[in-house]
Amino acid sequence: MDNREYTSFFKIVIYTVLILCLIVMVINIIADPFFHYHKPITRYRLYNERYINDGIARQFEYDAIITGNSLSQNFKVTQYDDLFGTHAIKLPFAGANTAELWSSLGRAVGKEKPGYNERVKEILVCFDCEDIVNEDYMEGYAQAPEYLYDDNLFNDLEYLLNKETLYKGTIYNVLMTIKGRENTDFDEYSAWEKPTGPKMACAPLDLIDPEKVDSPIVFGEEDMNYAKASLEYNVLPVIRANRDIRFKILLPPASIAKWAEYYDDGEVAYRIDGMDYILSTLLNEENVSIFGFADDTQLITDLDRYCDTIHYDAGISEWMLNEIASGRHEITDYTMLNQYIE
Amino acid sequence: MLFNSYIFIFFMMPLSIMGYYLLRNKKDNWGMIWLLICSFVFIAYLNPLYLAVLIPSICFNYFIAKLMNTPDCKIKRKSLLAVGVTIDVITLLIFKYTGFFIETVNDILDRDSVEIKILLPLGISFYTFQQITFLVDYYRDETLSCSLLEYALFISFYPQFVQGPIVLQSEFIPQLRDENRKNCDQEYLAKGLYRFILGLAKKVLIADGIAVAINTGYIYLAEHGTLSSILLILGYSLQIYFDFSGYTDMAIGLGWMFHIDLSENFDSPYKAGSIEEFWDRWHITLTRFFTRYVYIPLGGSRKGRARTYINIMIIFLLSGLWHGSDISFVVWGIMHGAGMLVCRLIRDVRKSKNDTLSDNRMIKAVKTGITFIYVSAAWVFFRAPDCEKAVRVFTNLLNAGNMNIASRMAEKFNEHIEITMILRLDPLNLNDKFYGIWMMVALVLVLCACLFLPNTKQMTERFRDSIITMTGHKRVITYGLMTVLFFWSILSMSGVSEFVYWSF
Repeated sequence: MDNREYTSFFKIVIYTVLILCLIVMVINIIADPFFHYHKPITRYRLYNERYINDGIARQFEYDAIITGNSLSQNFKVTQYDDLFGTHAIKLPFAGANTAELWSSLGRAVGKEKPGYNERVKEILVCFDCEDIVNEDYMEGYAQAPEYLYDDNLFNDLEYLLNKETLYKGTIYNVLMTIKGRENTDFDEYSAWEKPTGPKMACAPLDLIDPEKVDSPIVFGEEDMNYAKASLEYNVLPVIRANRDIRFKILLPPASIAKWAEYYDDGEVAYRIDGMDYILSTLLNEENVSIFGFADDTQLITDLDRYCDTIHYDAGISEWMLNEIASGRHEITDYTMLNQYIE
Repeated sequence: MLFNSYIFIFFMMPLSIMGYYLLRNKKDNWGMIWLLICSFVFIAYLNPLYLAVLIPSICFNYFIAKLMNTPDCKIKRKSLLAVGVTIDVITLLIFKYTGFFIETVNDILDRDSVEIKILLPLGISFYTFQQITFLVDYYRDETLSCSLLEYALFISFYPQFVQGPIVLQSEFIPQLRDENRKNCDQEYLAKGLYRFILGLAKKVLIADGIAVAINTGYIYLAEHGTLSSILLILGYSLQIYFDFSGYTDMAIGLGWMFHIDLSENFDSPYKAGSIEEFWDRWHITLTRFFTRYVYIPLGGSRKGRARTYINIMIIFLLSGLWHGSDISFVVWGIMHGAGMLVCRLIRDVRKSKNDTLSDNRMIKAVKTGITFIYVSAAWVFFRAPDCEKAVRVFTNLLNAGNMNIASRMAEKFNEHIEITMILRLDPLNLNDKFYGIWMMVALVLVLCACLFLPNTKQMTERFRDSIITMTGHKRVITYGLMTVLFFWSILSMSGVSEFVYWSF
């Protein structure tokens, strides 16, 4: 039997696919829409936080970072720079837990790699006390693209041979460049605007039966151990390894609707005691400043400013930065912390 | 390691095939040893502990079989068989069902659940059944004597290890020994690649493409009305078929590239006109296992009608439990068992009335439609996180006032690059007028492909027969299509997923 046709099919398909893959890889390396290998050389779009933040942190020039979960998305970098005289970037991670957020920060300011952002002098962190008390404190976000974080060249194929990188990243950026469109700036990066009001803020409360309030939970020794372990594993190593950087810990103002949820779950004292323990620990660190907004009753009861129980409008983000700049809402010692907790 | 991963396609697959043919022609068993090493690497890549369960299990079963064949062994062959099968089943039960058992007991006693996490070894459901077939065939003298190396390779041969097909020793070992199969066969290599590409495309482009939307649909069940629920149910039926049969195509294609024929596992199951026929076309090697090693030993249809029906229900209950350790899988099994009983009853009634007329095309189409709807309804229990959610899917169907497609499900589907391109090119902006319409169109097209196009086995046969005589533009089109399909599938293996929580 004549096998030549089979052989030619096999060879032609394999060789052509390999050549095409090689071409795509080279194009993606050159354009590098997530800044994994080098600084941007085309106009660029900032999108998809978990994919692009590590590249921004490693390739951009800056001396301050604004980071946190979705509550940090609406901060304006230009306002921050005006208030504090910095050249900041924003690295928000929607839905981030403590492990993910602080390991990313650790990479951004990590000293193990020479030249890694030595100029950073301050970091504003939207701090999630609730997530600190967590049994799985070592586990980051399960679906995070590890291949962009692990410095392993082999699994970079997932980035380079990826139609999404090619189409939504490389081709998009090249078209932006050709059409002369402006880069996404950090003010608009991940910023959002949603309808606010009591209806939205209190939606989860519809499910609550006021007749059936759970019995109160105590912040016990086990919880304290989790909080301690999480702080020591995730947070404190980054703070202590960077004494020359000021960490501004911002405690965001959850709405009164969120506290109603806590009340229903019997968690009010539990959450407050947990916060007390965490903040007491952080107060001991010389390069940490804590700014608390959760005690502002006028703010947290104004449900017109919330689009759900915790997410506030952009105006509150702007106001909080002004307050921080003026030194108000800062918790500097245990007396103030006790007042805040009270 | 997954077939649809870069490390597999660019490293494991070429290295294992090239190494095998380089070593295969030697007199010793180096080719087999190489393939066994590759298989162990493939299995251990995700977790080396998988081998800690697999290797002792292989040795144990081989030892039992050898004892059965020892003339002066004092233990009876039947007792050895019983010991071997029991240990295999207990091992499977421990690894797969301990959590389910504890949870069920706690639910019954209304106690707080104590969570016990037990590592579920890769492929254990498949290789346990394959080892049972070996022991039973050995006992029945229906198989060949083999070395430990051959046996280990029979069980852990990586193309079929994770999701089957469940191969018999008498099918596999003779191929390893066949001198004619020691050389690299260009026809097998070409059709193996062809089948692998088709399987990869089915898995990556179709099944995974649908899965993104269906997973979102199952998260937000409250959003579905009648039409959206129909799409949810239809989508999962297509997803599971293209996922599983795509994986099997890749397994068979890889087997061919090693010059080894693996059993076919699918034969256009959604073209079936009854549940009975469905099981002749869906997961064929599992049906063969249950028929030969459970149904017939239970008495099959030899002990009267009532006993036959009981045996059928037992098979499908076991099948449900084998597929997953949750009560919803039991419900799925019961639905299929009930479907089989109805088919049997109708067949028996028609037989008693000497009704031997064959169905016309219209009746055949109606039967195919009813079977597909029934199978799809059963898949809801297979997919839903629990029975309560499955029932919710059906109650949503009755929400007739709502003929919209759930926005979050449709949005996920529209995020696919291919759909994004269609949305940009669509001059009528159909998606704005009826949100999610392209998801509906895509699912209907995929369903039509299942019902009216030849399956991958038939396509591969046509390719093999026609490639020699193929000339000019036909050849260019075939080569070009397969190249594009392979290339696009590779680019689709890793997505950039928007996170469900991205705007919180």
